[in-house]
Amino acid sequence: MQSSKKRIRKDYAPLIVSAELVCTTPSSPATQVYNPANAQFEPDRALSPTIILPEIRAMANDGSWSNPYVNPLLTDIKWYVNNEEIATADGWAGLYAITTSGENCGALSISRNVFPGQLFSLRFEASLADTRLGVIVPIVTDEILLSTADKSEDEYTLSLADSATIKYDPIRDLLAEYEYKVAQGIIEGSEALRAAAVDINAWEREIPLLVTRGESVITEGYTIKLYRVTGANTFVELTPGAANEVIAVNTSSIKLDLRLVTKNDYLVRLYVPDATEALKLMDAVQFSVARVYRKYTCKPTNGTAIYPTDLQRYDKAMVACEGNVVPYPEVAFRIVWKTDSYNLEGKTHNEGQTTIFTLSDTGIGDTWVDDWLDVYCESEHKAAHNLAVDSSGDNFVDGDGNNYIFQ
Amino acid sequence: MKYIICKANKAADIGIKPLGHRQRQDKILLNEKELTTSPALTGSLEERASALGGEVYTYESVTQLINKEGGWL
Repeated sequence: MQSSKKRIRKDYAPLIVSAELVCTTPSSPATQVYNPANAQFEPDRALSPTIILPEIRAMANDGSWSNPYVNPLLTDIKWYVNNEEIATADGWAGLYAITTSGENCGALSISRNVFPGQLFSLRFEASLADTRLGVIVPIVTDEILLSTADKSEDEYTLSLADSATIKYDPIRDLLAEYEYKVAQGIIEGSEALRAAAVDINAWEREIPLLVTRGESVITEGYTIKLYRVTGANTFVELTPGAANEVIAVNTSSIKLDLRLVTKNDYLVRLYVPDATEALKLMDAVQFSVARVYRKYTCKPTNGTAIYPTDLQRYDKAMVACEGNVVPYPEVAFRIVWKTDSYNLEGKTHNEGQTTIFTLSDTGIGDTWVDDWLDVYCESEHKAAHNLAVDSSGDNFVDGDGNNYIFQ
Repeated sequence: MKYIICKANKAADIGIKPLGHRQRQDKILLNEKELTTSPALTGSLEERASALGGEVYTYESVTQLINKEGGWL
């Protein structure tokens, strides 16, 4: 007689499974590099595919699972991109391949290039049959990201090919002196003479800009904007043609009229259009402009006596700065002629380097007591110019559209 | 970036596995990083490619070549 059967099973420890996504092609990594200079990927995945291998390991604490590497045993293999199965995801058809057998079972070969700004999150899922316990163990990995670094993004630099502190000294401004001499009829104006007068001290200051992308100097494909710093974190954009000191802003230089500046700080910004044509800030530099007021002396030069028959008196001021006579001091200085006499103090005559005044206006007398005259000039550096604008804020311009300025 | 077409068996000798590479018959397509970072090779990129019985191509020329030849898997 047979007894009832009692089924006894082997008691296995459950499987402990680890799942990790690994890129097995370090020369074609998950993060590509895109070089916009030649519109190529480095490397191009169509030529050098990227392989993402799910490394699945399994073990049991009781040692009953002999082979830890279980990739060949995987079934129900699926890859997900951005949580959508890759077989149905947009733009992936024909650009991937999945290994379905062998020791690299589950590996994903990617031939799709990823453009800067795109991001793909990959996840692997599969099933592992635990034949010991007769159960299916689900396998789900963490995600790995496919992205691309734009080779150009961090490589734009902007620099000034000029001093960061620009000092404007009207005494050394040969361009202002040239314009004074032409206006006064001292010389005939010409383009050649004007060009010769434009140097580092001229009021028309062109500040060259240098823009590089990587090791290359570039002259197009970007925008330059100029701002005047007005506070700790505030600045105002300056554009040519408006009521300001900006003559021109272009991709290679900034041109300012320094006659209109006492002291300003400026910010220059470099913008590059991104994929959506929006301007993206890449770099910025600062510079400042300050007017220089140097020490000088100013004194009348006519030391001759006044004859009883003289009706008028001429004098000319000599202005010296750092041991040198300033040839045309009216360009940089305001000189006002005055006289003091016994009968009349502080009589103002005219402004300018020279004066001719009528002696009878000075109060000079005919006796020993009052037949003297003190001739002197009051002088000061001329301040920054101003743009001539009307009540609506529009600039007054000449026939060529040049702004009128005045002191 | 430059690309190299060389002998697959010579690439395998220096540890470059076929998985993840396009191949045609006995040839394999590599990118320059795989050669320049290989400790088994020395010299310039051209010298390293020559050691594997291969040639260096630009992106444009290798694309043109594999499209023309066909059979690159």
